[in-house]
Amino acid sequence: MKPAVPFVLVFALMLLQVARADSTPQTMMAVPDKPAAPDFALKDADRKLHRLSEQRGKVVLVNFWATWCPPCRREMPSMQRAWEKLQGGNFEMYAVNVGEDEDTIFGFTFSTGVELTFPILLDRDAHTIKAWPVVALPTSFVIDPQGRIVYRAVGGREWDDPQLLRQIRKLMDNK
Amino acid sequence: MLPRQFLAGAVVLVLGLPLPLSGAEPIHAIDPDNGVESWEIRTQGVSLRLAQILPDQVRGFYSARGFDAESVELLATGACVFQTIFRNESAKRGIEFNLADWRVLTAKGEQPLRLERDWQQEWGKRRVPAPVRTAFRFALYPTEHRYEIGDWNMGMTTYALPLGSRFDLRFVWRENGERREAVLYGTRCAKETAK
Repeated sequence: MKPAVPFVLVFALMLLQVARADSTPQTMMAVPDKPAAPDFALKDADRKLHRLSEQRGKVVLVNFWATWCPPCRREMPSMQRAWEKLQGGNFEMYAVNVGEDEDTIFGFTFSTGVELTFPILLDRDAHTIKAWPVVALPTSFVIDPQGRIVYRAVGGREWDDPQLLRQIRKLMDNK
Repeated sequence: MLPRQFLAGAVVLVLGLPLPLSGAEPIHAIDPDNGVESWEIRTQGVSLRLAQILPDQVRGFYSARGFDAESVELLATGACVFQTIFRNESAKRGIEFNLADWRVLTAKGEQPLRLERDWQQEWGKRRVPAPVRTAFRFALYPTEHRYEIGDWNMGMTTYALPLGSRFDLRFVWRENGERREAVLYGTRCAKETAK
């Protein structure tokens, strides 16, 4: 009986796939000199204005993204999970969409099957992103309670990864 | 007895799944659903993956970003386009790269990639609106960047080659100022239809 061999091979392949995903480091690197985060005032889909500088005293995760960017889409559910774990404390999360309109964003958020409850802000004319050191999407920054950029993550992350949550919580505790 | 690599490659072809890589052996995969081919290499703490983007996928993507039909056609058939993922997986330090250092290697010699600035000149001549050009900027793979461990991006790289061309890609990065390079062999541009 030979069929067991391909099955073992396929199963081993699946395990290796998972192992590879798990082995991807979930890291944020410290930003040298902790530059001041450029302020912005952007509206969300409900036209509510959010100003970054009004979040002093809180740790803020600022994520720049677009619906057509696959890693941006993939990390959104993990951002929601992180939001659910961290909100209520001195934590805020802004997902700044670059260059798209409300309908496009709504279409995407509906398609995720996950209710995204953190603020999604609209940078329709890409004016805000130009003031930030963003070269590619997604790029995320963690802002400390003093309004300084302390961490940067280029590319998608699993935001509810324990290591990343630990780094954010440590900042929240050092308020 | 079949060689290990042959067996692994066969599984990849059948399942269309990327394999964990070790050393500098590139892995070639074909998506069984659409015939799209990809190549991936992991070496010296970094990994590079190129996946074909079919001309029709290019048309769909850039039409949706607001490009006019002529410009869309220039992108779809005037260059070959790959979805590109470059990662700093485990280099000892942060790495820096500049796509201007990367080279396409063919039987005719070597040539640079077609970079974002080359396209932006074209869009300037064609008076492509600023928001459309901004979308283009972020859709293309960044020309220059620094990746700390765990950093990566996904974006498009473009090559001034006819559809269907075969080439090797020499990719270059710097770690602590020291130049490093590797070659991804046997890459092939998409044709008008993959299957």
